Amino acid sequence: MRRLVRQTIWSIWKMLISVKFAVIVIALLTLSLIVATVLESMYDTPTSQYFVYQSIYFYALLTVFGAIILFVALSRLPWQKKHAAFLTAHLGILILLYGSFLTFKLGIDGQLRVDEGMRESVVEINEPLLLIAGDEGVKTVEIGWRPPFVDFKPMVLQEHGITVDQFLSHADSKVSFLSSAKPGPMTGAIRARLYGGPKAPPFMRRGQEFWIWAKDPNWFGTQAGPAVVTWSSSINFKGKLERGPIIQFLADGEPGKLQWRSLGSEKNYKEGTIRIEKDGVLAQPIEIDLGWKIDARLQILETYFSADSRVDYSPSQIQFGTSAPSSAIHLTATGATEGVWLGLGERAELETSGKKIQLGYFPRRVTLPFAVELQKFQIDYYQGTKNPASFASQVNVIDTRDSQAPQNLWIRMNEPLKHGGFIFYQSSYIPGEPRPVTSIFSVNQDPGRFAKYLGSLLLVLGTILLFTERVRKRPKTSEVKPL
Amino acid sequence: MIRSFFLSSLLTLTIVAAQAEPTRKTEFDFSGLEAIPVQVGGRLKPFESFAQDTVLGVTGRMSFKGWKSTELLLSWITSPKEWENERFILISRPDVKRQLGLAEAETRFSPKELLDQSSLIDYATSGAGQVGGGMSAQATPIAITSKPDPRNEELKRVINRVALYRAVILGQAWQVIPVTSPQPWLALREGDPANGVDFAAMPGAKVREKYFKIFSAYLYSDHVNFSGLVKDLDELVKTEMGSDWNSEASSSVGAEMWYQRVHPFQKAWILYLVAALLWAAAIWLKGKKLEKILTRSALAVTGIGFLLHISGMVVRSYVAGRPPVTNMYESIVWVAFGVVFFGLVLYYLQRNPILTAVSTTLGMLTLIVADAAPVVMDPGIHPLVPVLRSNMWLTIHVLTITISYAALALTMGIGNVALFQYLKGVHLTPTGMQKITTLNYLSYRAMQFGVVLLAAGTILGGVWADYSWGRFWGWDPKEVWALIALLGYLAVLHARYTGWMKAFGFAAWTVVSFALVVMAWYGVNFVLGVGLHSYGFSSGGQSTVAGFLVAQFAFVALVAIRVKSGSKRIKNA
Repeated sequence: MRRLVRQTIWSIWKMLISVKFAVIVIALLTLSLIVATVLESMYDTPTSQYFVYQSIYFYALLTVFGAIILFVALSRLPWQKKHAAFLTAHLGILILLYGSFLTFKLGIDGQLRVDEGMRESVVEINEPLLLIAGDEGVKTVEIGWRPPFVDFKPMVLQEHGITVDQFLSHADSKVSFLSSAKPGPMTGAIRARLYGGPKAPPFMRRGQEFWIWAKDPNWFGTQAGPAVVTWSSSINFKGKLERGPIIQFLADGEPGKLQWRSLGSEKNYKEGTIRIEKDGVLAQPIEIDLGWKIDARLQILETYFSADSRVDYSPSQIQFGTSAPSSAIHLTATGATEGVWLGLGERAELETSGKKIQLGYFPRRVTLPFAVELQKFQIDYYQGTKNPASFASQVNVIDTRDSQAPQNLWIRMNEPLKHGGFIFYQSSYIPGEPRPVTSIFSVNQDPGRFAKYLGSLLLVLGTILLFTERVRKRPKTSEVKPL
Repeated sequence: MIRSFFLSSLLTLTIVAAQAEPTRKTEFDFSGLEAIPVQVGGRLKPFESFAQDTVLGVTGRMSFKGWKSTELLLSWITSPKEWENERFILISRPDVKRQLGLAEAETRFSPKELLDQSSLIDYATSGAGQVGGGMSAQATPIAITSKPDPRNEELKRVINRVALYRAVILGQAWQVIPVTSPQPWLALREGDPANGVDFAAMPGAKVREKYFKIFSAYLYSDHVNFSGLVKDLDELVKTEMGSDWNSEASSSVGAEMWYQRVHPFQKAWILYLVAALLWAAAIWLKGKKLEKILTRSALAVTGIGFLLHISGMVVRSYVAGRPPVTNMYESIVWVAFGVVFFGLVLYYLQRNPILTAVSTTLGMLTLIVADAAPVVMDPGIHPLVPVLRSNMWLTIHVLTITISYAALALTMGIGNVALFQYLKGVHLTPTGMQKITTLNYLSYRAMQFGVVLLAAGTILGGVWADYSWGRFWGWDPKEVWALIALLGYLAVLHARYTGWMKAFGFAAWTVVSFALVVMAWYGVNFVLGVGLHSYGFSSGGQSTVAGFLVAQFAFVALVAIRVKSGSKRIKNA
């Protein structure tokens, strides 16, 4: 028995140190990389990362690759002078792999978004996390990203009594409104349609449907065709409308009565009140003739005296590439059917077995020991075009531990900021109208950097040595037999 | 139909609107005009470069039906009516022609056919046709771009060709009127063509007037006056440039004139062809009296070609103000240089004329490829995109990695020669086998150069990426393909080391592995089309490259079958 074990170990060892096995591993590595680039071309970068670069299989292959090199080096013990070149080259690869491992384990590669005039110290890393805040404090659960065509197995989180039952890698959101459990003024919602009658210009005919919701500033008013439609509080509702075309609804009126007023572009003022029997979709849409010259008509379709919003997610039309939207998850209290959707960056509350827990779905965050303040963001364009030639951010580093922290430093392409072991590169920006602007830096901390450089140097040096050495050992042609 | 800017400006002239075919005017001497400095595309250059870029941009050819590009430009602006029905604007994709309702059998179309195209105009005005386009909210110049749709790309190019021709006949493309730097030069016509032309209000009246006189001299075939006017214009432009016309500007324009006139890369490949034939003859007549003379003359011709090749690259770099490896054309020229260079280095070390024969042949073929497809590989000298500007690491990285392709190309070339020996059955005799072993040894040496440089170049790419993007390695397709090629060659080297690969296997794999280089070099940019190296992305030539690879694989397979049946016969005997 012992002999058998020893034999097996011996044959495995033999295999590991054989160059033929190395060739097979190199070939497998090469093939995996080819597959990865093809996947990236067919789908997108995250897909290729999921199947290859971040997969267990690929890490295993790299580990085997590293192990072979280590074992082959060890098998040549005791080392002699003639092994110098061989050892240098292979040690280089080992150090390079070690450096990559350090980066993978300890490195930080994220994004820092700073608005102009603001400071920020939280770096976001592209790794979606579910945050659960209960009585015991905040817990994080990793939600593994997967491409749209890979099935998601529901994650049952027993201790919290919730289940993550759906994952959409790229999700489109759709907002709808429903009766609020806690009614109150200034929370009404209306779904209506503005369209043109027979005398209206052709572009008005099809009309435009819209929601307005008094509770949220983002939904308070909207542009529908040529007109601005908004809610208004009773204080403003008494005042004079100044510039048309505009339509207003009273947001803090009585239940069952909806007051409106409008002003056309020809200063024709009109107002009225609609009786609403109950919340929800109206059995018969209510028509309001605004009396405008362009023959615009308003059709009230759905009303709530007091509404809550609800966001639903569905698989996006765009499933691949950088223009695809971010992911979303669906959670239910274990056993329940109705649940809640969370898009990336959103919070919600869920009731499970009588307890309320706060949920959040966010990218992983790392807080820097210092803050970056964006003073100014600048874009240079190519002469006479609107194509940006370059962009740059002027920043201050706010670091209480370091009085020498950089001030008024410009970060631009190829000119990163280095501070406290972190490197900040100008990555992109989000324009504001007209200002401020959000500047996006990619933030990087790479403990494997030194190892990678050292390994690279040794690898190249060793290879050169290896090849110059071989020259001296030119095979004698007489030794070669014909095929 | 748009009226010619030139015609509408020459109010005093009465033009007979003859619908004649455009004809060349052979009695004219355009060399004076060709040397006049202009500033088009953000760079000071001789008129000829402007003309050549423009003609290439419109017709997809370096010269159209024997017309000199300078004369073609003059003819376009003076007689647009005559050109209206001439077919010279390139559309290469059949699906684009179908979309525009054009005859699929034709490759070029007349301005009339295209300018009246409502679908083309719709497309252009919808903004989709904008080249480069505005930057959207979260996009970044190093962002991973989505894969370009080849039909859309061609449509954009067609719109650009039509727009360029329109700009030529309207005078907007003629950015020839000097303004003191750093202001860009003025065109013959500025602003919206819909507005009337008020020349008095435009600055640069003197130069403009001179150009008009030259146009009318050309139109009325007055070649005597033409030369005098060109001379005046030359002086006038240089006076107007003032201190901008310094020794630097003049030598840059002069160098570019030399480059345009001499066509150093074209001359170089002709010399390489001659050299390759001489080397082949020297190998053929080995041991004969003539061998020595042939070898010497072959070496001399290779040397002259090589010097011409180098001077072409030096002048090009000098004119562009940057190292010559920023697009496919330049990288091909650089690889051709590398192939000949490694051939010469290895010849010096090994004294084996097969090396130089193969390297000059490959150098010649590579340079021919560079010149053969100007639409796919634009030979024009253009300013750099900002990501690539003034970065030492980038330059070293790109130069290193592309020169490794050259060494590996040499390996592939020698591998092909070895395979050819097998095909001839040379391997069946011991002396023949010795010959093949020598060939393999030579390609092994070239592979060593290639592998070291490829490894170094890939790592230098990491250094640059670390410096520029903040990470050493990001699994970007271009990076990954360089690594794939490196791993592929490492697998070959290790397999050879263990004896897994015998002489035939090695020869075959040197040829097959080059497909990895082709993929890393061409494929990532032209086939995969994703990743951070997007500034190099383009399309075209896919079928040619695929054809080359298929031919290579087929050749290897054919030889393999022959060798197998051959060795069976030996065993049976």
